[in-house]
Amino acid sequence: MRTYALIGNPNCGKTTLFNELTGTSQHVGNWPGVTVEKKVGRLHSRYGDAEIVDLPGIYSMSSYSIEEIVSRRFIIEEKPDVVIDIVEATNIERNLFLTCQIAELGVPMVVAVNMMDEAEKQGDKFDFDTLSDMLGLPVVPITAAKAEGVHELMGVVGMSGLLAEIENEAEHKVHDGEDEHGHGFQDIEDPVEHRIDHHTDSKGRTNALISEYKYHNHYKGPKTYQAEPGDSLTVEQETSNAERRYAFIGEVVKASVVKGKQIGERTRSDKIDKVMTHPVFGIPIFLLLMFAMFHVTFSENFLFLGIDSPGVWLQGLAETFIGWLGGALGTLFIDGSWSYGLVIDGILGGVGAVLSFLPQILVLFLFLTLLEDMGYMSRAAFIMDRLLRTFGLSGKSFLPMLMGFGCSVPAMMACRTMENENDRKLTLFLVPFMSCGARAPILLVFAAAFFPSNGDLVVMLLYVLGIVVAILTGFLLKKLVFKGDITPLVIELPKYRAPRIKSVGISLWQTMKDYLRRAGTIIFVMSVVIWFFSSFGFGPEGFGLVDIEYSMLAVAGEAIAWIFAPCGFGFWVAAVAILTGIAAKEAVVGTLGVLLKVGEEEALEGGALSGAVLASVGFTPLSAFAFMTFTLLYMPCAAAFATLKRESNSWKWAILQALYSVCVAWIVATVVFQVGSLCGLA
Amino acid sequence: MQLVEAKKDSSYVIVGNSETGKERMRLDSLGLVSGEIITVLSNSYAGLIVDIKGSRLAICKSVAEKMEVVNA
Repeated sequence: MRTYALIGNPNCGKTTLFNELTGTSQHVGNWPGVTVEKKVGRLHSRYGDAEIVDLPGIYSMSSYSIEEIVSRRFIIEEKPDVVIDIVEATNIERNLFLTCQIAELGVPMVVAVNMMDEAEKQGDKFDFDTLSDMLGLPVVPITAAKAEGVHELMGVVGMSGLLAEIENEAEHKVHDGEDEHGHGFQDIEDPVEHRIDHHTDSKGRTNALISEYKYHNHYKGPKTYQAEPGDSLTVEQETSNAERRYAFIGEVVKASVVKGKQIGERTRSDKIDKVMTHPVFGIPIFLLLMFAMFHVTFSENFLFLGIDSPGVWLQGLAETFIGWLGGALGTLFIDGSWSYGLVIDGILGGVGAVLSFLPQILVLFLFLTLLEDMGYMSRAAFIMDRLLRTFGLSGKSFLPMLMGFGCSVPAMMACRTMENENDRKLTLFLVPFMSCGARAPILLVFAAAFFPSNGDLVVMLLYVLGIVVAILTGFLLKKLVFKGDITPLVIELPKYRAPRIKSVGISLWQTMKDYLRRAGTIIFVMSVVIWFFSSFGFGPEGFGLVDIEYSMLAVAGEAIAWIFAPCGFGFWVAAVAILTGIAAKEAVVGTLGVLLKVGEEEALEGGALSGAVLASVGFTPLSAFAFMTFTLLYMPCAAAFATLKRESNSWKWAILQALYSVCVAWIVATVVFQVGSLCGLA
Repeated sequence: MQLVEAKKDSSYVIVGNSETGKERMRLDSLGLVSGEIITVLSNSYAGLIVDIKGSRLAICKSVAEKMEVVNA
C-alpha cells in the first residue's frame, strides 16, 4: 500500500484535508500547534487504497523544534511515496518557503494550494500552469473544508505515486548500438516509457501516462547549500539559503499570482485586532472573555436576571434524568441488599455524579473551541507576552497553558512547538497548574453547593489562581534552574474566521466521547472499588457488610486525614477523594458521590452533591473553597503524569512536578483556610 | 533604524538582522530576510504586529530591536 504524507505550515488546513480523505474526525484549530505528532489514517478511493500521514505543521525543514524533527525524519527516513505539500492560498509566498525545502530533497511531491475560496473572496487570481511550470512541480488548487478539488488532487497524487514507483522499480536499460556512420552509442531507455510500452493496453491510456510525465519533481528553484549527512549548515549558510529561496519565490509569485489586496492593506482581521490586541484593553478583554465563559457555564444568576445560565440549566436536566434513572433502578433491587448498594450507591453514585456534569463541561468546551476556532488564542499569547516577560517567561508558554484548560495531555504535547529546550521543560512543569476539564466537576459541585449566587466568580477566581501559581512557579524556576535569556516571541496571527460548525462539532464530540469513556471505564471501576472498600470491613461481628464508619476505607482515610486538618478538611471522606483524584480528577466527585450515598439520594429524592450533603461530613464554605484550591493545584492525574515523564524524558522532572504541586496545593489551601478563619469566615 | 522605532502604518525594507542562532533561522524561515518589505500594523507596549508577505506576525520588542530597517 502506498503512503502519502501531508505536510505544510501550521494552520494551513492539513488536518481538514486529512479528515476529508480518511473520514476521521481529528481536531482542527485556528492557531499554530494543533497537530504536534503525526497521525495516520486510511484512504479508500478509486485511485487505490493508501495510508495518509498527517505531519505536524512546520515553517521550515530545519531541525529546530520537535515537530520539525518529526516531519523531517519521516520524509527522509520513512520515504513516503508522495509528499502532499499543503500551501495556504492567501499566504502563498511564506508557505512556498517550505515547498522549496521539501522539493530540494528530491522526493515525489504534489503542491495543493488550499483555501482557494478565501483567496478568491479577497480577489486573488492564480495562473496555476505558470506556477507549476516555474516551480517544476505539479500544483492543484483545492478548498479542503468544502471538499473542492480533493478528487483532482488525489488523481494527481495517485499518478505521481505510480510514476515514482515505476522509476524506482525499472532499471535504466542501456542498449549498445551503432549509428549510420558506424559510431558506437549508448541508448538509455527511459524507465517510464519502458513501463508504458509493456503495460499499456490502449492508446488512450498510453497517451494519458505520457502526458502526466510532467508530474515528477523537476524542481527549478535556486541552488542552495545542503548539509552532508550528520552535519548541519552554519547560520550564515541558512540565511543565504533563505534569501535565495525567497528571491525565487518572489519571482514565481509575481508571474503567477495577482493579489486582490495590496501589501500592508488593512484586512477585517486587522480591524478586529486593533481592539483585541490593544495595549491597554487587550488584557481586560481577555479577562472579560474568560468571565463570559464561566458566566455562561456556571452562573445561577445569568445576565444578572436571577435565572440559570445555559450550563446550569442543562446540568439540572442531566441531574433530573439521573435521578429518574436511579428511581427506576432502585425498584429492581431490595433496599439494603449488597446489590442495591453496588448499583445505586456505588455505580450510580459515582458514575452518575460525574455524568451529571457532562452538559456543563460541553458548554465550557464550546466556548474554548469557539475562541480557538476564531483565531483568538495566538492573540492571547501575544497580549500576555509582555506581562509574562516580567516574570521571565515567554508568551509562547501561554499557548500550551491555555490549552491546559481543556486537558493537560495535549497541552503538554503542544510544548513540542517550543524551540528552546529549557522553555519547553519549564512550560511542561507549569501546564498541570491550569484547571483542566476533568477538574471542572469538582469546582462545579462545590461552587453550586456553597456559592450558588456567585459561583461563576468563584470558579473564575480559581482559574486565575491556577495561572498566577503557574507564573510564579515559572519565575522561581527561571531564577533557580533555567537561568538565561527569555526566548523572544515571534508568532503568526492567523486570520479571524467564523467558527465552522463541523470543526466545532468534531471538537465537542471528541470531548464528550472522552468524558463518557473515562466515566465508563476508570470512574466505573473506581466507583465499584470505592463502594467495596467503603461497604466492607471489620465490624463488631467480624468481616462483612458494615456501616461506613467501620469500613476499610474509613480506617485508611482516618489514618491520613490529619494531613489535611490545617487546610480545613481533615476528615477521611475528603482525604480519600483526594487520593482517588490522583488516578483521574473526575474521580474526586465520583468518590464523594459513592461515599455520601448520592445514588441513594438521587434514587429517593432526585438529590445530588448538595451543600447539605457535603456539610454533613464537615465542609463549610471556607473549607470547601480551600478544598477547591487544593484539588486545583495538586499533582496531575496519572495520564498527565505519564505524559509529563514522556515529554520531558525524565522521571525526575515528573516526580519533582508532582511533589512540588502537592506542596504548593497544601500551602495555598492552608493559607486560604487559616487566613479565612482569622478573618472570621470559618 | 531599528524596527522597534518604526511607525505604525509605515512600510520598511529589512536591511539587517543581528539576531543569532535558532531564533535567527526561525525569523529567516518566516520571511524576515534582507530586502523584504515589512509593514508595521501596530507598535505598542505589547510588541509589534507586522505584515510580511501577506501574513501577520506578532513580534516582541527584543526581536524588533535587533532588526535594521530603512523606509521603503
